[in-house]
Amino acid sequence: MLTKILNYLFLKIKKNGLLFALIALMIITGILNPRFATASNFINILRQSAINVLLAAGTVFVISHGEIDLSIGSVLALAGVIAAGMAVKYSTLFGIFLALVYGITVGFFNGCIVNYILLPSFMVTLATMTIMRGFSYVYTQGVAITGLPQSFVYLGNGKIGPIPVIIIFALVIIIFLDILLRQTKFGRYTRAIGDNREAARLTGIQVKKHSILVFILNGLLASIAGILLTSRIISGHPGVGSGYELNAIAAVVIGGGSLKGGVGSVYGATLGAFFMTTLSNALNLLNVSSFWQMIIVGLVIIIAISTERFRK
Amino acid sequence: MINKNIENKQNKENEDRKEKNRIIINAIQLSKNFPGVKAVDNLDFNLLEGEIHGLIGENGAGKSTFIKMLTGAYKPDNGHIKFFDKKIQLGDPFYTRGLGIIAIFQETYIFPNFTVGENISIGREDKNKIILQSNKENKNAKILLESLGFSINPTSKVSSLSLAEQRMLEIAKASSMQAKVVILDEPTASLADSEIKVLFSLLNKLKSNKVSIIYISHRLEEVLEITDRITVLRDGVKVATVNKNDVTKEDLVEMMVGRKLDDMYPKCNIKIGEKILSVEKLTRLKEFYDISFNLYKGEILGIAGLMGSGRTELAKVLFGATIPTEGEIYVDNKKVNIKKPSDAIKIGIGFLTEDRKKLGLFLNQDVKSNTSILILSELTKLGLIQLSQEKIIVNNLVDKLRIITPNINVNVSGLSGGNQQKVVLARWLAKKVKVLILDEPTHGIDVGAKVEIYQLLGELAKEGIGIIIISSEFPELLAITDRILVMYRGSIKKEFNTKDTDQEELLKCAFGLNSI
Repeated sequence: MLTKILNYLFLKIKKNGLLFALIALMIITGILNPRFATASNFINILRQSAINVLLAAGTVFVISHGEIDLSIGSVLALAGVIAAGMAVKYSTLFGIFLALVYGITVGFFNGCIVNYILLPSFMVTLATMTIMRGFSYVYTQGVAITGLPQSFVYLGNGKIGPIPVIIIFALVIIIFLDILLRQTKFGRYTRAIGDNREAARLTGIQVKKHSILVFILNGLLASIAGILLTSRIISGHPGVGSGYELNAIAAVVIGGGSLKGGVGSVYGATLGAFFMTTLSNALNLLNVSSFWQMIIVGLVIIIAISTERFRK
Repeated sequence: MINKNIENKQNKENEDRKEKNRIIINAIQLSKNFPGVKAVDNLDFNLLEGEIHGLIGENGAGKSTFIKMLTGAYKPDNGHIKFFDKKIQLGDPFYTRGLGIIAIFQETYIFPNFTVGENISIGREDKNKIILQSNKENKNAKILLESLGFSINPTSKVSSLSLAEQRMLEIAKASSMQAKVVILDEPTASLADSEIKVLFSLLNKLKSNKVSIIYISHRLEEVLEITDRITVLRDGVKVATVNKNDVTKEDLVEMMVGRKLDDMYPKCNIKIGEKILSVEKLTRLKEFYDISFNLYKGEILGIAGLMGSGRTELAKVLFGATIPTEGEIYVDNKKVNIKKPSDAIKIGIGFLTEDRKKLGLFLNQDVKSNTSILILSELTKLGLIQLSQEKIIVNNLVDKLRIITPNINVNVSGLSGGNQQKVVLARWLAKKVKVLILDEPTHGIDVGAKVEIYQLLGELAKEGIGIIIISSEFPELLAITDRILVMYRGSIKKEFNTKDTDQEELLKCAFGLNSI
């Protein structure tokens, strides 16, 4: 009987390794520091993850269609300062609108260069990453934009009942994206292209156009994340978001995605991003210095990916 | 009868030869079976020192299986191989390579961004030196190349060499590795006539250095020109080993055929309907020229031809995978403009690609997604794929085609070749096309699955679909088609009514023989 239960448990753990690792992390941290296991801390973690989860969910589309997008951290920053600047000067709605248009434009630009000039997405988005970072410093003159209107601040700090608005935003978008990747033509085509681009073309998929749409989606999500982050920290800062693209890529791979394309899920990427945020929250509460945190996070990524490999 | 005479004569000459030349490789009663196929059956083969030995046979005759046993890539089920009268270890590619048996296949394994000298010495650097001495490398390379009468600069980048030069570089590299036996598979493919001459002089040079060469080719003129003896394989069995001076091209073709039509290929009688596809003066430069033909409802049209005859290239243009330089395509008597595959699919043309793994399947996706990829628009309601409906359709196809899979949610990579091919076929059945083009649909799958695919094609034809099937297996074409077009060097050499022709006639035509 007992072995049966253990076997069953083992199978479940093997199948949902990341989920169980997350639960284990929570239990251990909760025992070591009871402050971890409070409702307010959980809401805090959820709020912190919102941004990373959105970026990871966008990145999973790009990666499962066989490309990579390194520009999202910088796109996030520029979208944030554009939204902040316009919100201060004109109105919150106009700021948000312009930031979203900007996100779509960058995605379109990345997608066109990758698919029509046929350059590797790694190099193209590495270049846009620097360009966009530069623009956000040029636009702000290196000084954070403050004095945001209350309506703008609400997005990242408001609450409906006990639940922060930003969490609801992220949740709705994630559910939408999960369905988009799993159960729509768009999602199937995305994975088909990443799995075998030439076969996709020969089954009538318009590969280039589709790929541009995927880059646009990712740019749009980066700009949404930028708006939310700016609102949450109540200032448009040109330096935010650097390195977020790498976190997003790590989250996708920890969540079972393959950098070769064809494989990946929004659920997995979300869980991956959530795991990484929880880990750094736990390390903070356990008083681990931020220098050591970097080292630990890096090691955890390697371990997570290696176990994924062994499972196969 | 011719064969017998030649063989008797040959045996006598072999005896004479043995006194002059040692036997370097002696393969005795080699056999290799794959599920459902005897790929090589009881094959005896010997190779003399300093001999160029041609190896010919139709596709599937067992040439590549035999070579793979020689090089150790496959372990024979039966028989053994002697190298200089000593039995050698079987099924160990590194060991065989160490003996000096080196195969150079169609794709060249060289590093295009390295120099000629680096390519020759790579993998055999001086272990005692940490820093590589490119001067010395280049000097050695130069000596080697000059000794082979091959004048290229060792410091030039390989990517700047012509295809012929690259191929010769690889042969030169083999000879620098103290190769005793060099195996060449279609070495003259895509080479110009002048380049072939240079290649042949290199081979003769190797021969005079007592290197033996096994020369595999479909180009019979070249085989007759360069080789000393020729071994003909058919259905995994050796037909004969002959002296090249004793045979003509016609004799060789006759020896290669002779396979009897199996009754298992079901021929259905289907009424041919009206014209559905018509091609006029279609040309794509350097690939094929001036192709015109019609296809009718319910007809199965075969396109035969050797590799490189332009048959696959033609199919690609019909499907919009590449664009023609000239010519017109009509579907249902209306001129169509096909610029990309999605245009062709919209018009109702389907294309089952030759290389299912590289060009057909999504190996990391499940059977369900692989099957339904073409009909997702039809399955989508309010933006969502109707999963239950998809499941019903795919399960029906799986049953209809007898695809063997645990369920439709497993990755297609786990299926056997035959079942994978059925998945790709199921994809096009789901789409309901008017014209279906199949490129080598039964390549590399077992006999049982082959027959099932033939039956399916028959059923499709009955439903009024026009089918074009490209194949290098002539018995297959003879069994299931109504008409056969034979392509040779980019144009249609001749059209045959299937019931009025036979394999020998087709093969002669495909080899460009004018005697018919």
